[in-house]
Amino acid sequence: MTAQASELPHASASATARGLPVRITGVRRRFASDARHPVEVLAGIDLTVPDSQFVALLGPSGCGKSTLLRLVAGLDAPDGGEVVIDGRPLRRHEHPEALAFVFQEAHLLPWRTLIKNVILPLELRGMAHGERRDRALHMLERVGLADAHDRYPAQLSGGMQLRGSLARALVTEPRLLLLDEPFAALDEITRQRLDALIHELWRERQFTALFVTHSLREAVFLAQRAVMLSRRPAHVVADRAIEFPGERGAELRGLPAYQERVERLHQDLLIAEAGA
Amino acid sequence: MTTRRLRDFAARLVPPLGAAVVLLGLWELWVRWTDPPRFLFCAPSEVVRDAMARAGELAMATWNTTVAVVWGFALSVVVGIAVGVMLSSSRLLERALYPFTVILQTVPLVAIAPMLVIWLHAGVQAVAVCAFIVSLFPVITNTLSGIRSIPQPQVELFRLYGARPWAVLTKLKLPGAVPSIMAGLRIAAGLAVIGAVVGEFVAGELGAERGLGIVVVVAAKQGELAMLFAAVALASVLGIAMVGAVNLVAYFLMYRWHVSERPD
Repeated sequence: MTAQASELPHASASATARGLPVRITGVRRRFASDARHPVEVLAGIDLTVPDSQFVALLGPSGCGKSTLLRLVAGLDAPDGGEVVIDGRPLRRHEHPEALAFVFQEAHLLPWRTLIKNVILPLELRGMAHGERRDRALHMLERVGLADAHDRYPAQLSGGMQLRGSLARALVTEPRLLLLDEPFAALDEITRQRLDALIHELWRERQFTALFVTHSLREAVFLAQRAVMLSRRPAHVVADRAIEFPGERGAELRGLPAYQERVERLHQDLLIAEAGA
Repeated sequence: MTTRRLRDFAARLVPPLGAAVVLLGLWELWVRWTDPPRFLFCAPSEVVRDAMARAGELAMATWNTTVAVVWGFALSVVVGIAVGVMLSSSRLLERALYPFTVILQTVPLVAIAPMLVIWLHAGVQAVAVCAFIVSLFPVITNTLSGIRSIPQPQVELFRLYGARPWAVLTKLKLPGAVPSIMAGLRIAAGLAVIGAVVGEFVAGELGAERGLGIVVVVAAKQGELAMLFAAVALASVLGIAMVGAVNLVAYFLMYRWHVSERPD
C-alpha cells in the first residue's frame, strides 16, 4: 500500500482535529413490542465524547449498544434525553451531514460494481461525475482494493466486501464514524487486518469513532476509551481510558499491558452481565 | 469459449427436444395401431398435415393472438410495477388496496369477458384486456415483495445520505426488486397467453380479428380435431416464446450480479 508514505504524523493530525464531538445526555429508549409491557432498552445514558476520540462501546449481547449507535445516527429517535453533535441537538429524522455508518454486514448493493458502490454516497449528494470517480478510486486504493474496483460484490470475499463498505463510509470524509460490529462474521486473521486498517485510517483522518463490538481484544487494540454498558435497561457501568504510547501495530497484541487491559475489561463485562 | 457455449446450449436443448420426439412418436404409433375415430383423436402427423393445408389462416390467427398477448402483457408490466411500487410506499395503502388486487387473481375471467366485450367492443382491445387482467396480479405481488425484502441497512444507507424519493426508487427499490419482478413476469407471460385465448373464446368471435382462441372454438364445433390441436400447439409455442423473451431480458439485467443467472 502506497498510502503508508502519505500518512500524516500523529502530532500534526491531532493539531488540526477533524472529528465532531458528541454529547449524549439522559438518553432513554423503550421498545413497545407488547403494548402493555414495553421493554426499556436504554435507561438514561450519559456519554461525552470529545472530538476525534475513538470509543469502543461494549456490553452483554442485546444490551442496546446498537440502539445507542442508531440514535446517534438519527436512524431512531430517543424517548427521552438528547444527542448533541458538534454543539447542535439532533432533531427527529435528521441525519448529521458529516456522519457515516458501517453496518454489521457489508451490504454493498449487489447490482453495482465495487467502485459504483463507493461512488453511491457522493452520487446521492450530487457530486460531479468525474470528481466522484476519482475520489472513489482513491479511497479504494487506500483500502487495498483498487484492482478489484470493477468487480461485483458477489465476486468478492467477505473481508473484501467489508473493506469496500469501509471505503464507501469514508469516501465522504466523515467527521463522525459509527461502526456497528462490522467484523463480527470474519475469521480472526482477516479481522485483525481490518482492525489495523481502521486504526491507520483513524490516525490519518482523525474522525470521531463510536465502535460497537463484542470483542474485548478488538476494543483494546482500537479504542482510546472503552465504555461498558450493563444488560438492559442499559446504563454505563464502566468507562476506561486505554492508552498506549505511539502507534498500535500487530506487536501490541503480545504486550503484557495489552493483556492486562483485556483482562480488566473482562472483569467489567462480568459485572455488567450480573446487571450491577 | 464459443464452442463451449454452443455445447452448453445444446446440452440444454437436446433433453426436452428428445423427450418431445419420443412422446410424439409414441402418440403417432398408438393412433396408427388403434385407429380411433377421428373426432375423438388424431395423430401428430395429421395435425401437421392439416395445419400445413391451412397455414395462412393459422399464421393470421397466431399473429392476432400475439398482438393481444403482447399488448396485455406490456400493460400488466407497466401497471403492475407501478401499482407494486405504490403499495410498497405505505403500509396503509397496502392494507387498504392489496386485498382488492387478490380479486384480480380469483375473478373468473369467463364471467367478466362478456362485460369487457360490451364496454370495449369485441376485438383486440377486449382480448388484450383479458390478458392484462389475468397477468397483472403476479407482477404486482412480486414487485411488492421484491421491494419489501430489500435489506433494511440498504434502505437506511440511502436515508443517511439524504436520498430523494426518486433516487431511492431508481437506485435502490427497482434494481433491488429486479430478481423478484422477473420471477413475476415469467409467471405473467404464460398467464397472458391463457388470458388472451380465453378472452377470444368469448370476445373475439364477434370481432374482425380471428385469434387462436376462435380457431379452437370453431374447430371444436366442427369436429376438426387436428385444427384444434394445431391451435393449442401454437398457443403453447407462443407461451414458451413469451417466457423465453422474459428469460432473455432477465439474463441481460442480472447475469453480472445475481446467483440465479450465473452459469454453473
